Amino acid sequence: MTRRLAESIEHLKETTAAKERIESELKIAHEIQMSMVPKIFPPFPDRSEFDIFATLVSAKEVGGDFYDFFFIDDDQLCFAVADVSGKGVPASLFMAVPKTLFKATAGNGGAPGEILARLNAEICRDNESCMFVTFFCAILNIRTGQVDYSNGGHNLPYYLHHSGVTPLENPGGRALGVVEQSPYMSGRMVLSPGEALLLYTDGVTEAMDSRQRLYSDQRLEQFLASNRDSSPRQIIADLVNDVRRFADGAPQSDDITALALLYVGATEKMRKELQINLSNKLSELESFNQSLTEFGRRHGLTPRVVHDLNLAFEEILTNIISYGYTDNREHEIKVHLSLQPGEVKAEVEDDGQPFNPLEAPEADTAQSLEERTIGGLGIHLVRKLMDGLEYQRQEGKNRLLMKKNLR
Amino acid sequence: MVLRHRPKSHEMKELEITLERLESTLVLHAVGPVDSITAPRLQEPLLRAAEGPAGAVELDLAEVPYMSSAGLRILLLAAKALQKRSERLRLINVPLPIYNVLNLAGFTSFIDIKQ
Repeated sequence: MTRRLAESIEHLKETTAAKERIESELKIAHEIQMSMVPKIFPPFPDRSEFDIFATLVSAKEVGGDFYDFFFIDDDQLCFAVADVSGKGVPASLFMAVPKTLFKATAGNGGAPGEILARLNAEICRDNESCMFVTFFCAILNIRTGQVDYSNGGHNLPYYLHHSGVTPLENPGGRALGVVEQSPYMSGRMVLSPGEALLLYTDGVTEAMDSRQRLYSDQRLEQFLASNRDSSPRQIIADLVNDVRRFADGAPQSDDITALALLYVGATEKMRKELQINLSNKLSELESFNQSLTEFGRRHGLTPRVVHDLNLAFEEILTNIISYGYTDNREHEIKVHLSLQPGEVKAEVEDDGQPFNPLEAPEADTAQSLEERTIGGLGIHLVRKLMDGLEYQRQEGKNRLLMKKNLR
Repeated sequence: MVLRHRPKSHEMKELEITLERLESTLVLHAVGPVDSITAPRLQEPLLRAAEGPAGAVELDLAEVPYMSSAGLRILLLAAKALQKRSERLRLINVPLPIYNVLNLAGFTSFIDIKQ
């Protein structure tokens, strides 16, 4: 009897120790998982064009949800939310694969649909456990608000716009890890300043109360409709609280992940300025022209002003590219435009041969047709179309300052 | 913000010229900008018409968003060629910004312009 009791106690000690060990390992696993998602907010304190916040609440110590966001280049923010089938340790181990692949794949460029297709192919290749992952990924251009996105069988994010809340259109695509050659389409939408997106996993909408009722899409939509003016941080905090209040003590059945992205818009300074660097090739003039036209459209410049600026730049840049360089090397020409009250100021800088357009001989436009010669008209037009010209030669560079009144 | 421009060959802007014979007048309809890149596409048909033996030559600029000095140069060459047989180059449907440019260049004295 005493011996049996002693054995029992010994056994209990062992299982308790084993349980404690597992629990402590799970706790460490949880810490590892949480260290794989960005948790410092705001993540990009110097970027004022958007505001982002996200949270991940695991149902067990570790879960199969994840979110991520990072810049691909200066202007493009890639962000994603995903959910692995199942939960617990297997799900979280499996999640490490798409999570790592995603960052590497997105960094290679390409539309979100291409990113998901490549991810899917990779996951399918060695998927012996037959797990799958639903995956939504998107790329926001923080300069324009344009969002390109693709969806691999995930819940469609909500678009929080000025007149309500609607799910994004589904471009189509199945969960990753199911069929190797699966197509993933890309969708496109544009966020206006003040509009937001909410990405989430089904842990939100399928959270259950003690009577097994679901939180549901409807409740989420209602919540978003009445909270769409809150900041991302506030929306996420309030949403998690709302889901908890709904569950009312019932155990959390699945990981809850939510990510809110508010588009603030390009900063005032950015919006009123345009910096374009082009190389000394005539073929670069077209995209320059398009950027300038787009800049004019965005600021409501009259077609006449846009025309005159385009023409002046065409003349100046053609001149620099055609006659400014004696070597056959590539050179950079820097153009900077800034919108000021009542005028546009432009600056062209090149490291070509010294050339002061203000000293170029004046074309005699009063000559008769017989007397007229071909040259000199370009510079003449620039002088006439612009309301101010100034030339400087500094540190081996030509700097031409132009001014155009908006009238 | 710095935009790095990559030329997109498939999006190259085009200038297209179509010819229309109206009795003794040859009308050239231009669609697209006339600048340093596209100007050669206008030069060939316009000078061929201007240097032709007879008939008036009209250039329709309704669909031309802008014309740089590279285009003006061709107009000048065409006007000179036409003058040899006592004709004047006619421009029709000239958009206001282009009219302004023609005026600044002093071309309105030897080219007939209808806006």
